Amino acid sequence: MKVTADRSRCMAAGHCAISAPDVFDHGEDGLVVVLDAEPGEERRREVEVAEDLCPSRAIAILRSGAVGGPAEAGAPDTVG
Amino acid sequence: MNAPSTTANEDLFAYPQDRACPWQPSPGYQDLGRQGPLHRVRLWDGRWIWMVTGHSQARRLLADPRMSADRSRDDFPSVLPRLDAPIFKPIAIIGFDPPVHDVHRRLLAPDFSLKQVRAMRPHVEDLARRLVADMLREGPPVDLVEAYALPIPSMVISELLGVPYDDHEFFEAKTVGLLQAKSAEDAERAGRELWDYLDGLITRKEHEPGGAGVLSRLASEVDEDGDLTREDLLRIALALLIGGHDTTSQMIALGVVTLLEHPDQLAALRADPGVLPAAVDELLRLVSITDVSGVRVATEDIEIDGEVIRAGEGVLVSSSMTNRDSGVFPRPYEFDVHRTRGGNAASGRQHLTFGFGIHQCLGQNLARMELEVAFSILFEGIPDLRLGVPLEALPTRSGGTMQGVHTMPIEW
Repeated sequence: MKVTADRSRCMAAGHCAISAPDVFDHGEDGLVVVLDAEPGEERRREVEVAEDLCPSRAIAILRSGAVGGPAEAGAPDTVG
Repeated sequence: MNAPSTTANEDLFAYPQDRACPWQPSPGYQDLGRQGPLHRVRLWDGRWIWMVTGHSQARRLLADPRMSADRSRDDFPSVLPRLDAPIFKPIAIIGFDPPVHDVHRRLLAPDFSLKQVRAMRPHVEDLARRLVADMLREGPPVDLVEAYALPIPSMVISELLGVPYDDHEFFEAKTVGLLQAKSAEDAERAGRELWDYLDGLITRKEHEPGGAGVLSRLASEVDEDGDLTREDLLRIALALLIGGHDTTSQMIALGVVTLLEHPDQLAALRADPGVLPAAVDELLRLVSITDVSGVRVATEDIEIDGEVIRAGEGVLVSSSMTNRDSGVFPRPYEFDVHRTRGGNAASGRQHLTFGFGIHQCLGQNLARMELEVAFSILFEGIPDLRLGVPLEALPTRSGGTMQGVHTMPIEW
């Protein structure tokens, strides 16, 4: 599985570093840092929690070659 | 359109309504929640607004860039009379849309980050132990709000910001005056006193650079032509000071009440301290201390679940009811510290007490840490703690959305 984190969207809520601490951390500026961009399948549950909880939709799991993004992201560019 | 034609809106549910139980939403909200995820409710000024009680609808709306948080807009709804006060229009960070919001929020992100909060924890533990020792020395009965629930967040935010704690009686009283005012005039008066106080404090910091705290650092970064003007800094200082202690202190108080009234859950927490972080999020979910996850106004027509929210219409997300969406939280009215058992413990963070979208609470990890420390050290230091009055006799806040108690007598 491939994961991405968009620092331009990150609001430093910290949920990703709590739910998947081997995959995400944050830098001195408080914003997300990806520690492991291709985590093993055993991390899928926790990465899905991180993606689900991210309030500013900065975390994405790449699914079949496309950036999946959360299913509920209804608006064209959903950060709000 | 959302014209405040009072005659047409008279039949609508009147918002807000007081709770009958300190940790459960008003019976009226519970009825609404059973009817569906989106409702039209009537506000004090006769205007109607959408009230969202469904969890997924709330998340979609709060993360939608077509929903504005800009409180200076003419069409932004005032949920309570006090929110009509000019001091709230706009309040820093929560009352701004991007790009200004994002710039200010990122200025503060390092100070409220997980690592920063973890580094502060031993200090907050020492503080809580000292306050417990003081209560034990004084002996029962003690007002838990004054002796413990308020001093912890108040001292923590003072130190973090660089506001002298010696001034705490002033800023605590004015914060309550602002947040609990019955009228816009009273709110404005209390808010302006806080504003003038912070203005003087920032002037001192400008004259003595290099001081401790976030406000000292930001005072050195003010640039009238840049991202942070002096007025921005004052607005940020006000938002952080009032946002930094009142809700957390009331969450400590009502969290203790909820634990005391659920002895089995308190026992489960004592039996396994590892459950503490999940228990704190479960309490945040259940108590929903602010009762509102966010208020917005639509800037375009937005279709959601077969309804259309028209441009100019207001939306208020109920935290207490979205936190009781049974599709997300089975047995939603039950307090269960083991709710996330078997799954990722962080999934307990699905509640919307801190909001969602870019405005999700800046201080949420600080608040969680303070709550973990406050509950664990209180029940460790005073294991036979009990309420000093019957639950029904607790003097609870009324007529607003932010839940709380004026005082909370405890004994042991």
